[in-house]
Amino acid sequence: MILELDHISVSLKGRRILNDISMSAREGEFIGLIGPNGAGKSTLLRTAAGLLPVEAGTRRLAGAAMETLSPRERARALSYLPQTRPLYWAMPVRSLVALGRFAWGNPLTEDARDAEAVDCALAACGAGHLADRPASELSGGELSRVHLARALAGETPLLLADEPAAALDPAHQLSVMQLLRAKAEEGKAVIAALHDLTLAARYCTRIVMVHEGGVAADGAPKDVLTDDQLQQVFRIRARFDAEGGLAIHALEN
Amino acid sequence: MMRALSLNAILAGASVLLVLLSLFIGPAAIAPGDALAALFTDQGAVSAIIREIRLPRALAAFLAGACLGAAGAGLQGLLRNPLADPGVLGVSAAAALGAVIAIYFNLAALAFWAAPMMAILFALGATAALYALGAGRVTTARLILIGVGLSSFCGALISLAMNLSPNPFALSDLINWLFGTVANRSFHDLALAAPFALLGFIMIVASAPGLLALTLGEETADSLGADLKRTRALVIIGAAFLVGASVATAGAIGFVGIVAPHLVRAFAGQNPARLLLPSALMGGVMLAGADIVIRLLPFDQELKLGVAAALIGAPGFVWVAATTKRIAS
Ligand SMILES: Nc1ncnc2c1ncn2[C@@H]1O[C@H](COP(=O)(O)OP(=O)(O)O)[C@@H](O)[C@H]1O
Ligand SMILES: [Mg+2]
Repeated sequence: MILELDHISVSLKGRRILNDISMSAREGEFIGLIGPNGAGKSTLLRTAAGLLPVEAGTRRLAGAAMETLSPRERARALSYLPQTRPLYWAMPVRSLVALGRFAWGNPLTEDARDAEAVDCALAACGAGHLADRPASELSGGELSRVHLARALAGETPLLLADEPAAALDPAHQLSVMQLLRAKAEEGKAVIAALHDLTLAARYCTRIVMVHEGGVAADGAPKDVLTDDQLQQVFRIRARFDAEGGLAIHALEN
Repeated sequence: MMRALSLNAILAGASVLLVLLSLFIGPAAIAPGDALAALFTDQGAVSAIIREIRLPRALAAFLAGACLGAAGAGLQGLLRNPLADPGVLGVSAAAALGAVIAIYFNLAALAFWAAPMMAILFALGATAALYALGAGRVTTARLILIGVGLSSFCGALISLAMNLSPNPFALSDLINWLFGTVANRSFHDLALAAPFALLGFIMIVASAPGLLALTLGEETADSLGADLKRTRALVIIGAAFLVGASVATAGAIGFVGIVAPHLVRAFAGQNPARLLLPSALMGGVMLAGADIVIRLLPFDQELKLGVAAALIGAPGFVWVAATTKRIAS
């Protein structure tokens, strides 16, 4: 078990955002985190990444209590792709992706191992041809793939990605989902906040449905994406068709 | 990488040249050849002028500028804002206030090191207050706002001290501290400031990895494995030592901390970890050069170094402000 969250509660600015959440991730899993806007998906990912303090509950990362890990140890176990991805100084794409190697070796220099991981990650995200472009001059979708490459360059056993497929065209959405699935099959654990239920149903090995700061359902896509759950949580109607695809309709009031 | 190396080499060369050039300038007419001879061999009175008056003055200008350049580059990296500067955070104003208090309460008359020491102590106090007020997870925006308040408050206290100042000599001292000058600096002054400058520079350089990670914002930097608490502490305390050393050497001089890193970015790119050394050298070159220029100007009374720096630096500041797309988050 690479990540264990046990009865976690988190408050931000005095308001309870996550309430008594328990979930875990093991190697080989691609977990889709779904839920309406404001449900708490991003907060859950930031908590899992060790970036927020918990009010109650315990977090274990690769067997160790999260609080006992140094920032560097934590960064070698997990990489995190935030939902908003600021870039404060202009730098070439390759340097941005190389930041994913920060926790390995000297952060200020790139050794052969770093270079290989950076090239691999760029290629995997279909961004190899962007390597020498200034990151500030990319389109939103291109930049999004570059940031994903940055997260992959860390080659960590756990990948937490907040809406990695947002802002991507349909072909790139598919290829990102394929990539995350492939990473899971290689033995990583992947947890990604997703909005496209159809893609989630098709590629994720497991779905965790977040609703009002709690886990509403957790299990195989077919068991979580049921008519009842989707009506209650998303106010939509959906059904799996014969090929395992998901057809979605808005609920009429 | 190669560009950064050669930029450092060029700036280091320019620094040495400007310091040597500075030895040729002064009221006593000494030919350049004689000045150089007097620097390296004992030529009696001429050596005294070159070694005891002109050399410490040139080194003081370089040191003050280098401290401001390094402090500016470090603070800008920490706050991810090309406008951040010891002045913005209120550290310069606090250091100047320290010096002014030493003068006003006649501490400076008791010991020659009182004013510089107070400048360093107040710079440290200001940064400690900044840190304590925003204890724990302080955001960049809040740090800057606290700095603005601190800066205004110290400025008001300096004005108060000037209003209450009992004698005109104190007033002229106050003007030297506030406008900044390196006239009449001795190796005593330098020896007092240099250890703090060195310590501050080492701390700023040690923060380089954290500054690099902060390019992606605080949350991502944290997730990358950067120790943000350590980075903040290194930059804030390091900048306090640097600013204290600079104010102690030359009084309050503005804008070098903004303009020097900005010039370096044009040549060496924006990587905040690679800006630290060249920004220090650029700051030193700027003030060493400015101190030569003010001595060549045909005025009866020498222009204050800080005034010359502001004449060039303030428009530079406006330029940076007007062309910067993003101001700290
Ligand atoms: N920094 C913050 N301070 C206070 N409240 C926050 C903060 N970030 C998020 N929230 C609140 O937490 C709730 C969950 O937000 P979030 O985790 O971003 O949801 P999701 O990612 O599922 O859309 C929302 O109601 C949001 O307003
Ligand atoms: Mg979100």
